[in-house]
Amino acid sequence: MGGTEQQYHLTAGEIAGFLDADLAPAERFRIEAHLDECAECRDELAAVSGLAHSAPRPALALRRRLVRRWLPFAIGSALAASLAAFLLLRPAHVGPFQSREKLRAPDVREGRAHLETISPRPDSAITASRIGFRWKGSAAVLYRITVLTERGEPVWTADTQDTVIALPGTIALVPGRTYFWQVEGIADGIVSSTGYQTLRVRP
Amino acid sequence: MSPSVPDSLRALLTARDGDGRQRAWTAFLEEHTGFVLHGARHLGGDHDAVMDRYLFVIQALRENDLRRLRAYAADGRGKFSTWLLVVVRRLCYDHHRARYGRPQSSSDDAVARQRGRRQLVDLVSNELGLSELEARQEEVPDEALGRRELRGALTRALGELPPADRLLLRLRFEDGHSVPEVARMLGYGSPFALYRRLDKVLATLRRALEAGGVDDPRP
Repeated sequence: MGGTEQQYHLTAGEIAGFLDADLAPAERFRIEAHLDECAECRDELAAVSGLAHSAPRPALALRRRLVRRWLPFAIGSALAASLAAFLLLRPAHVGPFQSREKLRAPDVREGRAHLETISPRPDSAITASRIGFRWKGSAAVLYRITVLTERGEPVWTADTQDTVIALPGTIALVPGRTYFWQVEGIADGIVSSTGYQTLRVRP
Repeated sequence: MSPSVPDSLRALLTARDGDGRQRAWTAFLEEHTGFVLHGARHLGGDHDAVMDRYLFVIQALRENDLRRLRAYAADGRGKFSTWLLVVVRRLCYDHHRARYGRPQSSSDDAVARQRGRRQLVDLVSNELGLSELEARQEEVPDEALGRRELRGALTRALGELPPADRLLLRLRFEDGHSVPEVARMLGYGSPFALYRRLDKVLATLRRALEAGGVDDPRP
């Protein structure tokens, strides 16, 4: 689809099916093996993924039609009215990984300096008690540390002007579990970040 | 017709007469023109250039009795919006080639970037900290063979990974995409899930190197 098919190794359906997880397992395996070998197809996959992520939401008129047509049948009318208001009024351009918070979690490739971590090391397991975090300083007036569960749920957040901080005794991490932690350097916005680091707790 | 076909496309493909088809086409465009414009803007250029590409795409979608759209309806893999973005992007590159007569394409860009890419084995060895170990080994001339053995062991270990894991490493380290970007491409539910998978893959490679006689690939 588009030009001569011969110039593309994968069809539009295969690219779309791969991105939308809509392929049979054997077909996905075959396409993964091809993508592993083909930089050109990987570039196309990345470009389309980026386009899909930044694409506009369906037209408001369509949303209104969808709401009017389907919700009263799917659920009770009172709940349908509430959901209709939510669908019609929410902002149109919020992607799955975006946050509405002022200081949203950055991707370290978005032009912010990398903050180097000192401890804990990503390949070490730590005991659940007496967890300390250390990182190298940067041009920041404040550091914000966040600890999250494997599912990305926040466990603890704290601000410090130092480059070392201990997890309070009131925060109990579960032995045997994996968490993530991140430090962001703040100076008139987020200027640096460690990126998400793995935190393994000994059983 | 595939169940993933949106209503507006289904109505267009099943319209019986000229008036009905025109109304259905108008409704289809009303719903999807945003996606077509979004894809047309991807190649950059001023407003006129974008609108030229937009019109080219619209005409191409309509030609030969909606041939391209009928192909999606018969195939149905992936969401229609994703499929449409693939097709729009490809048509935009066709338009560029037709207008400027140059073989400018995404494949040309990919070839140029490929030449500048470092090999995956080098990038993964950096991630595993092999560079420091190799530097120490090079200080001892008799140990020069060890460096080749390390690389050979890592290359073999990479070759034994399933394609999905090698693809993850290539997207992340060779192509340089961020973790959230790779997570979206590969269908991981969150970047955290991808971080966990990445840790496991790197741990697998370390174990393979240790089994191959490298005591500790980390400095």
